[in-house]
Amino acid sequence: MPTPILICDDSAFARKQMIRALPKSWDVEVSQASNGEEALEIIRAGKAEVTFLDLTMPVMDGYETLSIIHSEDLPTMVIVVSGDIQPEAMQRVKKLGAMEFIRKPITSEKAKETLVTYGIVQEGEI
Amino acid sequence: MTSQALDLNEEYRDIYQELVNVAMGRAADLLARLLDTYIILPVPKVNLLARTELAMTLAALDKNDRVSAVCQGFSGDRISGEALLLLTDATFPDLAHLLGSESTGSRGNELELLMDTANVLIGACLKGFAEQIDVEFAQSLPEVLGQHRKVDGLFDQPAIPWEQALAIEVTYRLENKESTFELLLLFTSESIEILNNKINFLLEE
Amino acid sequence: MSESALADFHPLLDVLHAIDVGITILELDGTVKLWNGFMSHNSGFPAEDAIGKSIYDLFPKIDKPWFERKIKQTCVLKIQAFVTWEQRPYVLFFRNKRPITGQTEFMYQNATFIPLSDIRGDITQVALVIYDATQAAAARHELEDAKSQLELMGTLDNDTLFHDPASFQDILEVERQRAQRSDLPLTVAHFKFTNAQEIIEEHGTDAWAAYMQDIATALKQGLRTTDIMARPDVDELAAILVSTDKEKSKVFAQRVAGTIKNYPTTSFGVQLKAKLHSVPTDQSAYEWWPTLHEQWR
Repeated sequence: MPTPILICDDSAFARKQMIRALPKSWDVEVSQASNGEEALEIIRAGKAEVTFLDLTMPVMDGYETLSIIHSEDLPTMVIVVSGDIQPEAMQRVKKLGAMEFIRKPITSEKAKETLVTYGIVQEGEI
Repeated sequence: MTSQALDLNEEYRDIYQELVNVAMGRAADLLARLLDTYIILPVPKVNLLARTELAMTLAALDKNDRVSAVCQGFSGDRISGEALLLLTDATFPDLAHLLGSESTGSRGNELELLMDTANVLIGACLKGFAEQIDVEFAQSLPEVLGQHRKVDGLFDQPAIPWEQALAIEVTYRLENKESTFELLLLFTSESIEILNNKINFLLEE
Repeated sequence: MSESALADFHPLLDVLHAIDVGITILELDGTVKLWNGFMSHNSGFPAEDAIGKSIYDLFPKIDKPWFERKIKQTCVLKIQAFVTWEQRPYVLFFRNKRPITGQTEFMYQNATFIPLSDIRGDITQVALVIYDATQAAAARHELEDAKSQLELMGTLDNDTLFHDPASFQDILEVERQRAQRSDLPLTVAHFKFTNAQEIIEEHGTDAWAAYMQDIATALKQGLRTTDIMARPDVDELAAILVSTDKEKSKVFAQRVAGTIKNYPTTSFGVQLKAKLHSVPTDQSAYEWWPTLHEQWR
């Protein structure tokens, strides 16, 4: 069964880059959101086992989204993918329960490494 | 100049926005380390701009605000433009405070703060942008456009008769402070077509 | 290096040494590794004397903490650092290339610090490139002087059509800087009508305004084109006298006092005090102004 994942970024280009960076052989069902509000809806519907989340977004930014996921204990593993790479940004999202912080632009090597590190996919699978 | 080159559709606008988002993030990271504070990042604004709109576009600034500004030309791979950094007067005490620097009142010291900030923000942002589209920009020496001037009076009508430019505007804010840094990247209309080609290449990859 | 690459490299070295731009490569501790012709000619140190020495020893008067910070920033940030003459007139003290007719003793400089990485990508050296900006600086100074004058034109006092207090401060600052650059004297003459308050109470503000208007008209006839008149306060007049020392200013002050004393409507019985102040070139005008005011009262 494919793994339901969510890619949340206000930039369509960034979402495209993200999808391209995912391991080709990873069996996923991708949902997309362009802000935090849309993302929460998809997560609550159980369509996001893994969420790739941008920080700088209109309507609802990544920080707010993360804190809601955290406080409502929503069932998703969050990997922040951000252009904001300040040390403080990393600390903040980790504190808000993000599993990992990846700097943009994401590469397929980094995506694979992260997914394997956290046991989301097995090395042999891809 | 072809009319096609001056077309900026939503897809391209989105891509420019994202490229600058990454580039400005790197610049902010360096400045944040230098100042030991957190810098709030906006969503960059991408527009095609007529020369008459240059002063108007600095939306975050009040017309009566006094600002100091630095501009720096850049070019590479037939792409050229100018980067502008504007600091409101309110920014200097904050900067001086964060850098632990004394004698905030003197003009020489302010100029030093202005140039250091420009070096970091313009240099890192251009480098980050260039790397993503796989080009290298050479930067000219930065030039002070003015200190403590009204925004309106800052841009004398340039002698070069440019009609339109691609403008990318980033407004950095220091957390818990009034200070704002306006960074404006302006690309000549001739550069837009080349930039778009570079981007097409990114899309095909 | 292949033979043909070497053949290309040689003319490049010749250019490096002949070019009218200073190029030097420094280790992170300031040790000189490369020193081109421009550096030799202007510093007086031939390359063989400079290479291997510390830049801090070659230029003992260098602003060392600043210079070290620039090198460090260039390494850490891995981006070029630009320094313009406006920020600091020069990085390394070189004499003006026009030692006879030049305006300054030193060469104004623009400079760029460029990070240089080794094979592993670590920054191990920094190139310092120095451009002679003396001409640009001179041109800018002239332009700015003219521009400031123009900008200040609009802010005149209503009665006297002399410069108002804000404009007075601005002009003083511009002139102070110019005096500092050109090493010419600058004197400010102050005149205070010490019984102005009493006169205003007795005859009204309109009468005082009319009097100031008349006095200003009378004074204007005796002015040189370079004398800059201002009205710093309702009961004060001031003159910024460029290229004028204190002695010469006395003559001017006496003339002004005479004009005021002999003016027909002096039925008011004005009492006048004057004071001359040579503007110290090492201090900002804003700093000495309040003290001077204190001295008045």
